[in-house]
Amino acid sequence: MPETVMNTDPVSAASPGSQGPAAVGTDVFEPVIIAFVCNWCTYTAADLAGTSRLSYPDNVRLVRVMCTGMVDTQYVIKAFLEGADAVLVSGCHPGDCHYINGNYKARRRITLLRQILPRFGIDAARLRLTWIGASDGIEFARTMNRFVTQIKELGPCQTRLHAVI
Amino acid sequence: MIASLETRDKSVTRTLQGFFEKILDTGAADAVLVPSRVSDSSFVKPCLFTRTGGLSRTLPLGPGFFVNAGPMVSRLTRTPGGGRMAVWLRPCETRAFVELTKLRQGSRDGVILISMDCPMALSREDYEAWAGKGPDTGTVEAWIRRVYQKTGSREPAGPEPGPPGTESGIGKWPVSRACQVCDTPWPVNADVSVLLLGSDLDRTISLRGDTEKGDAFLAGLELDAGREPETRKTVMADLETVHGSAFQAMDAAVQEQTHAMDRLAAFFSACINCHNCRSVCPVCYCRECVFNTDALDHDPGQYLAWAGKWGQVPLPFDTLFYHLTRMAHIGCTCVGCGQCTLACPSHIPVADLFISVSRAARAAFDYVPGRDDAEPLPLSVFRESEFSDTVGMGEVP
Amino acid sequence: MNPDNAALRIGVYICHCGVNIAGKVDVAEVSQWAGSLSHVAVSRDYRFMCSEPGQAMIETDIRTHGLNRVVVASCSPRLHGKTFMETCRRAGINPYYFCMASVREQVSWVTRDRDRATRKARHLVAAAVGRVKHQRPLTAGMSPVYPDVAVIGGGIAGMQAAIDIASAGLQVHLIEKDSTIGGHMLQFDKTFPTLDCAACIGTPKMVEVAQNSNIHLHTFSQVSQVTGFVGNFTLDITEKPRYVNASLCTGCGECAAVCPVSIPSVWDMGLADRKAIGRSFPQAIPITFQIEKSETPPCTRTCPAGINVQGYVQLARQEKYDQALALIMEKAPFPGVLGRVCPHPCEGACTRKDTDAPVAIRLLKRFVADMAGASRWQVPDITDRKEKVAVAGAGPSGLTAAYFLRRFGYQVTVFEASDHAGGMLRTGIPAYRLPRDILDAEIRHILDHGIRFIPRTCLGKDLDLNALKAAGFAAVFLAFGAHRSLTLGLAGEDTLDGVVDAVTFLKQVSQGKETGCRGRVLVVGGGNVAVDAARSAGRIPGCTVTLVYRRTKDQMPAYAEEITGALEEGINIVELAAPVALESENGRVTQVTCLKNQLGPPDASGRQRPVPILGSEFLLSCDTLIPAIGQVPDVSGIDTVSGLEITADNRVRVDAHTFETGLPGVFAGGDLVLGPATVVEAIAQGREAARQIHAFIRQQERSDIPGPETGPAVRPADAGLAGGISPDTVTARMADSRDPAPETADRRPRLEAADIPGARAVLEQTAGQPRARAAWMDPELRIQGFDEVESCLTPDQALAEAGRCLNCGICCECRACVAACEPGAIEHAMTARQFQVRAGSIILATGYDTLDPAALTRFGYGRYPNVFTALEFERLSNATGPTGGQILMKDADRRFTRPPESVAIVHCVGSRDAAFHEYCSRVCCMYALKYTHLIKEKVGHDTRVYDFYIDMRCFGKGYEEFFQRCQQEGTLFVRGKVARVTHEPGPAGDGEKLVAVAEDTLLGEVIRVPVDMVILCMAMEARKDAQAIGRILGVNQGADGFFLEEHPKLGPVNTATEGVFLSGCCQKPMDIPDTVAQASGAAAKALSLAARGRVEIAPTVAGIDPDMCAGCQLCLTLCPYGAIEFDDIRRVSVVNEAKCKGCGSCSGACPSGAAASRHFTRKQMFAEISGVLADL
Repeated sequence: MPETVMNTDPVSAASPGSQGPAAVGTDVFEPVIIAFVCNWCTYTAADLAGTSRLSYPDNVRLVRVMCTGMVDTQYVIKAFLEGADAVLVSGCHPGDCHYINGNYKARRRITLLRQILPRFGIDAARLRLTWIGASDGIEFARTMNRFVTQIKELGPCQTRLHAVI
Repeated sequence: MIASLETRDKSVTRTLQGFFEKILDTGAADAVLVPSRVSDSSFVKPCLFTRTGGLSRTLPLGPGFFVNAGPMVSRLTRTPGGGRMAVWLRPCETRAFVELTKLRQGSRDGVILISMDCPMALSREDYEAWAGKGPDTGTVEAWIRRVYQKTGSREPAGPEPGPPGTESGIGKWPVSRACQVCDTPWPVNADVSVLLLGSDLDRTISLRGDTEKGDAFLAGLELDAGREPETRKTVMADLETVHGSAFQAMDAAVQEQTHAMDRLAAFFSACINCHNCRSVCPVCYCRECVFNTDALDHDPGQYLAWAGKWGQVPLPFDTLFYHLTRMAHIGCTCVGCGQCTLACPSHIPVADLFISVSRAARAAFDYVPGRDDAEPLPLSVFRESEFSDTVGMGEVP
Repeated sequence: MNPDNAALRIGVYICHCGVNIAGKVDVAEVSQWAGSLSHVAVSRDYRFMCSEPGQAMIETDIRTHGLNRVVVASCSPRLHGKTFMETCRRAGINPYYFCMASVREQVSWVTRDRDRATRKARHLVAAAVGRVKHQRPLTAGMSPVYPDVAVIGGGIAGMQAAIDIASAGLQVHLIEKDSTIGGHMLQFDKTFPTLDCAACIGTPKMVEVAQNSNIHLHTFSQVSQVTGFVGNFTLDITEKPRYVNASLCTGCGECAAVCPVSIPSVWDMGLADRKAIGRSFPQAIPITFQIEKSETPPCTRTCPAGINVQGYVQLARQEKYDQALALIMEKAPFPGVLGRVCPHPCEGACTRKDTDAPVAIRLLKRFVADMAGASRWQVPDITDRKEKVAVAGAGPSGLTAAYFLRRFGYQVTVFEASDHAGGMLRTGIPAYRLPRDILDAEIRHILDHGIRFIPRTCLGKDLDLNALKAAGFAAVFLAFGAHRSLTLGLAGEDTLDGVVDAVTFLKQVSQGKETGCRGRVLVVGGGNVAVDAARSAGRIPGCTVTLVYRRTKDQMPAYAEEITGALEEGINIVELAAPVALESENGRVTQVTCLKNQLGPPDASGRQRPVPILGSEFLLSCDTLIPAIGQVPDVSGIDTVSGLEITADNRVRVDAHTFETGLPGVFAGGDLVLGPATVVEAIAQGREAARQIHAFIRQQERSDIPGPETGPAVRPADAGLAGGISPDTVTARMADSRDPAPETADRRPRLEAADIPGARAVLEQTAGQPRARAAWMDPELRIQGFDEVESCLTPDQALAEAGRCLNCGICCECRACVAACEPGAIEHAMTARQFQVRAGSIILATGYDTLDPAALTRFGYGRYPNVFTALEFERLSNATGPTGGQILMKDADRRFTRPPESVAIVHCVGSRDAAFHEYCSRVCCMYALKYTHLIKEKVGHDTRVYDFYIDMRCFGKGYEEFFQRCQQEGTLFVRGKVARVTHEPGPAGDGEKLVAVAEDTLLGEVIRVPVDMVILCMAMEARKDAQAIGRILGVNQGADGFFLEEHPKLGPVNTATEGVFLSGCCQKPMDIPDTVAQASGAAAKALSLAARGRVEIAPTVAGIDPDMCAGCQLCLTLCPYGAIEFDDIRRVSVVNEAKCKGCGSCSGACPSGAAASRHFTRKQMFAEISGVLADL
């Protein structure tokens, strides 16, 4: 069984957002979450969270894109198929998009995926779209904590457990 | 306007062939595209006629449907100068063509879309059995009567409903599932609609002009005036109910079959990545599919890495990735023609899944493929405030 | 598959960043593990990768180990991405063969557990290694840098930046939204810690800006849009109208001296007033004055004739009666008449109405007219034109038209059917309302312009239109009014003696003829004519008058004051009655049978329709019956003329816009077109018709009718009202001519006193002062004859009344300034100007706002007159301020009188306060110290100054020393935040004392300090419009609202948008030295860009593979920059790399992947995804 799923480390079990009861077997379930974040707002917010030393669960791993408008539906599907328990797409607030309206395009694509994926057991709650502005370091950390908690409650995504690819 | 054709010696087929001849003779169009037998084979393909000679081999209303002619018409109209054509399209072919025009793959200029109340389709095997050595007039006319002439709500036209997978259809022939669940087996947004449901085919066939172009076209042919068969509306209503419940049943079954990713994997377990479903799909319009590009040929080491992750990986790879990607790409534009199922060498009911997914997907954008040329593709537009519930961490506002 | 995979040689470098990373991540382990990854040739960890030796390490490895890909795991690529790309470039490999993993910001700084941090680091490294394999070499294109620089904001930051750049020889566009440059610094008195005066060091900068030929100053201007990219921006700029021509204005200030309107000076924080025309302060640059205008005031907007009401009211207030009169005469040559009989719709619209009562505008107009005395009016010199114009009818409409036509220079002849000019004014309105000498004088003045007046000549009878044409008249204006009375339609009405219609009766009365009116007089009707007839009859000895009206008294269309007058004069009104038959004895009327009415459902006019009650007959005996139920024009004579269209009710139909009838060159107006209407409407039509005739004769396009010389039309918003009466007004009248004139259609929301800058002061000064009423003659005396009933306001009354005007329009457009301005610089018709400037880079120096003190009620601001904000105190202490630099307190009537004996200074108001701003405003401690010193210095060392601080932050050069000095000066420093400011009676009852309540945190006890004055150190905050400006320039705001710099330490003047730099307080609160330093920093950035001459255009743009593109053009519709074009020949979409900014909208939408971001290809993305999700 993949090491990332198995975790008996007491410290991390107590790490923020880990109070979700859901567990795989006897081990605390540690989800893997991939976040596609735009260079100008959410990635900057992540940097700010870092420089402000706001800790959030290590379950989240960022992939930097220039704009949420470049996030192809394929990236999200691929992420799930490769075993992500959840996917976050996060960009600038409406009106703040560095490229004028990329975030609106992302919103339509994610809306479509949230229609399709749940039919195959990938809960819509595993695919989130958020607006986190460049200065929202705190908001970024808060969102990460909340997302991890939510996913821990949902339990692992099937694609984590089986090679359905 | 509504025009009518007088049925020639009780043969709808011949009457329509006469209609095509007239089109060419009067020069109303330089060419007509109609499904026709190829040489003496029993199979039909859309053929482009410029001379009346071969028209006798055409089967405008047979159950043979092995190619969606939508993309063919888009090829014929992609650039101007293709001459004036009249094309005979099933409703789902019309839908496909309209979607393709939105994708700049074809144009309605210089082409008359003639569509008809749908004659339904059989699977390849059933068609062979049905057609034998090239279907004789009797067989064809029988099929036509069967499809169109059941009137009144007691005995609705089209296939008898039956639980998915079981035999159901016209006589002993199970029409394809896509046809059973089709939500619009009649023309929408064509130039000329041939109104067959509920009409007395031994006497007349009614043609309705649905666009200025269509009206002008019919006017040019100087046909007798006609009218919509009285019972057509009732029959359509009946069909809607029947097909509606057929869809419900199929949708439920499909969801039951694929409600989890591993079930979906099982559903496609027989898939050999031949990508036939894509090649026959009328709205898969890419010149080169992304799955043929280097974007998806992975480094050798990567396969091992993946195997290491779950202990094993199935090959060929990216099967679900391929199908899910197609769902994302054509989820809103799927016209439900069922070609994918017909084309699948592994007999996977691909269309069942795609139809049920696409109905959900397009509903989210209140989009109906083929309905209206002016309706923009859902992913080609956006508004500043919309889909607010897509955004956020699910907290109740 | 990547062709040269075999040749891939990747170097991986893990940075310790001291302990920043190494403290959480087992860097050695990660590095060792990375070494085991395929294609990784070298893997190292090092203390500081970004350091010189760190970079050297990479360079050497690239050379010695033949690396062709580099991965560095360290801080954020936003911090050092470029650094390492340069390293690669130096070592000879393409910088886009580099990939960075952020294991500090995303791992060590945010992860608690060491093992987990290490594992996450591995994933990020794996992702980077996976990605870098598929990265492609990219070459940056070069684009020229346009040398000019744009600086937005003309405060000290903007000025300094502009000067630095200009002195390097480059052209600078300095754009300031205010009317002067200088910014907040120039509002200050002294500057800490050196105490040199802000003006002394600030004004030279301003002058330098003004005089430097390389600086192009655009004041009163705002940037509305910015397009382009680094090196090549285009700014769309809007310059608001000053209404003063900068090239002519000498700044002499004569205009302000004569301007009647005062408004609170924004520059002086409202502590002093300025004139509507003025400038911020004497040293303003440019020196050009500027006029504050709001929208057209409601009075003028409502006046059918468009008379500039606010204008003449203000001039009256200044006792400039001749100018006031001139202003009225511009629109209407009958000031005395209107001053008496105008129904004054303006008063209905007066904003003052909402607070108490509207300004008595009509009375003021009369006052002006009487004071200026028509006899003294001068006829202007008129440059003659040869064309002749005929006017038929010498009523208000005809005479007005003649007056303006003559002033245009035409040879005007007025034909009048009766003996005298005046029309209804003379024959309809009794002398007790409109004395004849007044009327005669005004008519004389009109005719004295050189207008030929031909009486006893009736058009249609004595001459016809053809004759006029033949006589060479270029145009004819028909305005012979509505003089035919409507009849009751009762048997005997026109045969019996003792029945006379109102029009005839009034005419006889006014001509002093025998009327035959005697005994019991019955007047039927409820309009002004009826009341005039009744009151006139009442003045004939031996007559007792009864007025019969079909509706109720309060529904009578006659003016309220008329009805009051009538009742006072003993006239009896029978309401809800309608005559149905006449009784007579030997040929004379004796009785009138009436039916009682009751009120039924509303009719078209919205008033309840009177319905007769069957069998309710009753008798009214009478000797004289005067029907006065309305009039219609008498068109006999012209009704046969073909081309003239006559309506059912005898009105002549004209083009609502041009006043032209069906006959070319024949125009019509006044009651003849409107049906019986008001004098002011008739005058309005006369004037507008004159302008239309003028246009007609000059063969102008009907569409571009000249706007009136001044007045409302200068405000574009009011185009509809240009020339006083709008086409819709005319048509509106045509709809229901018999109802009282509805006010000019105006859909704008009612103005509120709160929106008017000067209103508060006016309301304070005139609170409780009632609306002026003119004295009326005693009723007993009135009925003795026809002397005028209403007398003129007294000068005192008039001045007081004019003082009640709120100046809704701010500038009243009295044009006193125009008269006073010798160079003729004032242009009331000026409009906003749009223009563009190009610039290679932009410096944002938009400065700060101070927190709005209204929010802080607990400090009593606004409640106690002697609680001031810091900026207010700066003005108080400033030599150019309201007190000339004396620090004084306000007395009971808010006048600055005596100096304070004790002052409390409150730090951190709205800053370091979670309720407002968490940040420290940084400069308050120091200027607070400055205040303590200034108070001691100016008011005297015995003044008690309390400085309430939380912490003293005196970090700058010489700041601590200044603190020491102020301590020695005897200021009492209290460590503790003031909780609230209250008040208590002062000792010996000498007025009130403010009390600052605070906790002295050193004593640990609550103290109450009585003081005379409190100064609040308001927090600096981001400009209200920061977001708007940020969006225009693509600059984000931080959580505190200030503009976000690229990096808090290493990029304080850069922004996320290349080529846009920050300077001064728009980035964060700063003192002057910091601001000036940062301004020079920003200037240096702009200069280095310009000096380089070329900028790299990031090659990370999109590309579309023509072999894969199906030509669906989805990308084309989605591209926000129109950077994608469709190649019709190849039928594929093509990216214009110059326009592409690399957002990837196209790749996100392209199903085949033909469209792809060069540095974010699917292959790269998939590899990265596989990396972060790898099983490690």
